[in-house]
Amino acid sequence: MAEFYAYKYSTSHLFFPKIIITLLVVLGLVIAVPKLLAALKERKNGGKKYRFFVEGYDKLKLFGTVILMILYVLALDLVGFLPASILFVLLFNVLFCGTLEKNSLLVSAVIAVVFPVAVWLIFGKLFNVTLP
Amino acid sequence: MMDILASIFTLQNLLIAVLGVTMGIVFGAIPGMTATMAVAVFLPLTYAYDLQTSLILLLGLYVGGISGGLIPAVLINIPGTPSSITTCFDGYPMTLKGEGERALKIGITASLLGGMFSLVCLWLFTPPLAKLAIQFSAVEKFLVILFALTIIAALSKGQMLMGIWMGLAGVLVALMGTFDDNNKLRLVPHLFRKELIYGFSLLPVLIGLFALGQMLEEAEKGMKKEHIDKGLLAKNARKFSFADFKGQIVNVLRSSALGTFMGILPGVGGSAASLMAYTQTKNFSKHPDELGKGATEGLIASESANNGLTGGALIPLLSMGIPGDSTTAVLVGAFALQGMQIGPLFISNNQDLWYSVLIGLALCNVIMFAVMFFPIKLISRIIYIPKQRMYPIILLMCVVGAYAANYGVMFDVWSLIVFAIVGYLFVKLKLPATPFLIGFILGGDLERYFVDALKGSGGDLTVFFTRGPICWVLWLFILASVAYAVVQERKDKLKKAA
Amino acid sequence: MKLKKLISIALAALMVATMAACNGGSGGSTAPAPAPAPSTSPSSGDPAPAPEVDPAEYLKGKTIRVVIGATSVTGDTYLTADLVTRMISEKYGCNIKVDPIGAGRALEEIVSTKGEDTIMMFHDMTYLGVLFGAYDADDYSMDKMIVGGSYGYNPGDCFAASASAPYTTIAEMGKWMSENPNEVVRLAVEAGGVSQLGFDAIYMWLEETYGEAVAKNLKAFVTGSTSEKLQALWDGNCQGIYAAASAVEEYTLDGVDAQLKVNVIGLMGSKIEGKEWPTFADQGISIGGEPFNFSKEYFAFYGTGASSEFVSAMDAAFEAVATSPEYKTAIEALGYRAQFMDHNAAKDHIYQKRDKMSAVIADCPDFDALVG
Repeated sequence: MAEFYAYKYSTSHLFFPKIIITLLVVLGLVIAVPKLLAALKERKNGGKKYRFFVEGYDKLKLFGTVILMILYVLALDLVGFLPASILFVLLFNVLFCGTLEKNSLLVSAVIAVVFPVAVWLIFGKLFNVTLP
Repeated sequence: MMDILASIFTLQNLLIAVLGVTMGIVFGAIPGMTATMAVAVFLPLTYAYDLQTSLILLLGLYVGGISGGLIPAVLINIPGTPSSITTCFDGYPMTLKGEGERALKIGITASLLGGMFSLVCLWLFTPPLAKLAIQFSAVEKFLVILFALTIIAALSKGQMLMGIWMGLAGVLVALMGTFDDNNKLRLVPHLFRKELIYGFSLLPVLIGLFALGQMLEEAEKGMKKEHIDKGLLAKNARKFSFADFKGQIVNVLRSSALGTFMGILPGVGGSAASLMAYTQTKNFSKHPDELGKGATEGLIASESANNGLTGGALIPLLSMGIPGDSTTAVLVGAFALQGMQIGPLFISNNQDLWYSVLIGLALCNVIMFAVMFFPIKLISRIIYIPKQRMYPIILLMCVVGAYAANYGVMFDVWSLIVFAIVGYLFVKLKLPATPFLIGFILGGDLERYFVDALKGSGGDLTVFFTRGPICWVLWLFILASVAYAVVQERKDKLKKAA
Repeated sequence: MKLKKLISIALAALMVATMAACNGGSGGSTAPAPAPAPSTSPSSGDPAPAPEVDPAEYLKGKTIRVVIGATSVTGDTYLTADLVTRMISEKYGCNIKVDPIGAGRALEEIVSTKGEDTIMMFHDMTYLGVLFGAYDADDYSMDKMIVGGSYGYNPGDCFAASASAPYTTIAEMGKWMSENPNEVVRLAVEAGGVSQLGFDAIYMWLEETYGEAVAKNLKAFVTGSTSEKLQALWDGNCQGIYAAASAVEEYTLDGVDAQLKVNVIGLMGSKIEGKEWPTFADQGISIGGEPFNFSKEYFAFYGTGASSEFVSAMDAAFEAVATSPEYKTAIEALGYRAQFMDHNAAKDHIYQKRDKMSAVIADCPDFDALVG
């Protein structure tokens, strides 16, 4: 037992993690056991079901956001900062507005061009910050 | 003295100071960009100037960068910098009540007070404070971090154990990556050994959990147009007045002092300052229940503490050559670029520069106040921008910030996305995200000082109790803080049961 | 708000413009007398005839990202890389940006980069990190990159001890340790780098001179940056530290508070002109049968995809800049020295150094026993 927690240079990278993991496990049991017991009791009494999403949640926007985020990062790698950002800021705007109405699209397009270009000019060019 | 004043108050220097402060505020306000980054970005540009002018520019960036973080924290519940996490706690509820502008003005004023307090400390008490700072060895620093962590107990109302568990989980995630002592990788799946060689970085985790996690929540709710209820805004808006600071003098002094002191301690991160000040304000408050619901007390504590950091962090730098925080560490570069090493004799050998730093810092604090206070009405209009238009831009800025955090690492952008989803799941599973983040922020330091203390003592655990009076005082603080939180939790439970 | 933005942008633009006008007045502080560089110009050997490329033509308008094996913007790696690249950028009108992303990431970038848009600048840690086992030899051996030119070296890596210690040199320290067999001396070092090499050398010298019992009392205190080491020294957690001499010089001066004051007890490289500091070699410390003399040198590295035109253009650029008097003055003001090797000479040199060190490291005792 003491051996497991002893400090030794070659394994010192695991020294502190071992302590934290032990605390996590112990405390986790202290929290989980009463909860589980309570849950069992509840089920016997036919308790209410746990709901993950809010009622009538917006599937398209939620999952659309996740997927667009991932595609955006992939696109950054593929085509670089400016084209990827213009495209995806536009797509996000369209997704969040949820409409293909002309005026809204126009606003989206303006935002999608102005902001990434401004960021690119100010941070990328002027301040020489490394951009994706 | 007069010639120093004359050499500082030139038109060029004043313009430079305004530019520095303004750019600092922009960096601070953008989620994922920090004061440290602002100073690092401008560092190569200082070649062209003499040391005095460069220092004014960099100090402006520093002060502005630390202060700017309060804008998104108050208005959209996104901490612009790690040290403004606690600003969200009370600032955003105030915005929801229609008091956004007031909250910002209170925050800015508190920032100025904190900055000025630390400046006075720097000016008058540098030698004794530096002496005090080196009394803090790894043992004391470990206890300081532990003390800062007690905020988790104070924050997790009604689910203290869960809060502590999440805090520990945050610590564990912070430990992922290479351990500096022996260069070995731990807690990382083999598949990601290259990407996670240094573990997850702070900024992507911070803005992922908070900013983008929030975006996913909003997306789930269908991204409703309005940010806040406009009706409420009109009828409820209380105006700011300096009288808001009445009865807060003790709070301002305590928080600024804590901030300054955290700055003085080298190697203890700046975010510990505002966390600690917030907890202590809560513990000493007459209405601890109000904190977290839009109490000005909490806001003042957080902002005066993180600006108190600025002067504090310069104390060990200028008196011993040891930077007090990550931003002042970059300042060392500014001196090095001019062929100057900062060491223990800096102040006595460079009186002119020393006064330039003092006057420059005072100037930048005043400019920071002016630049933020007067246009704040306009800035606070941000909340009228429809969410559908604002979130894409926030995402864009987060991506830029995350990528730039470590000078261009694509994996940091992936971390951002991963923690956005994690942050969203935390909310859905009713797991408290803030303790996790606090654990994550402080985890690395916690390990470093624990291990260093043991190495110094040859593995003897009693060193944490036997090193001397500073230790005992710190233990007393820690125990008091925890005991207070436990008593509060009990009281709440009894109240609920009744 | 809009107006303010405009003004700030205009100001920033103004600033950049003024900077372009004043082409890089680098620090004007006093520089020590130039030390002779250990090896200049292409060394002997058989450098393959490289195509003659005009760097002005090849590099003009190019954007190059330099990753370095450090994460700080104040350390030696950054300062030297930044200086040399800034001068190259100015001379040839290209845009070179130094990104301090850390050793592990920099190695990963350079072995996986395809073209010549990303290059690495680093020092002996490139191979020492692999030799000490911090980085995988299969992934990050120097064979997986092109060694480019060298543009400088650090003359003064040293060990320093508190001024209140009963010894002022390593030789005295050894003697003191042999007379006080119950005293443990801890030296603060970083794992797997130049400092570990120095520590190993001191240990082996102690063992040889005073026997194993004395050497056993020398322990390593593994920690990070110079300021962390200094703090450990002041805390009493260690008795000596490894650091760049230029970084501790400020603490050796008269007038420094007694608690903060240190002495340089051994310089790993050659004697520095105008300084009293004793070198390792002076004190009889040897390594691999030769007097110990090691200085950290800075090299450029390219991805294997870099064209030979690029490599020789960079060689020419390094030669033009690194042999210029302005560069020499500027780098000495930072505490480092200029040198130039083209990529062939640098490759021979660094491989020789690596082979020598790998033999030495194989002889070193296990670090596990030395830490504590």
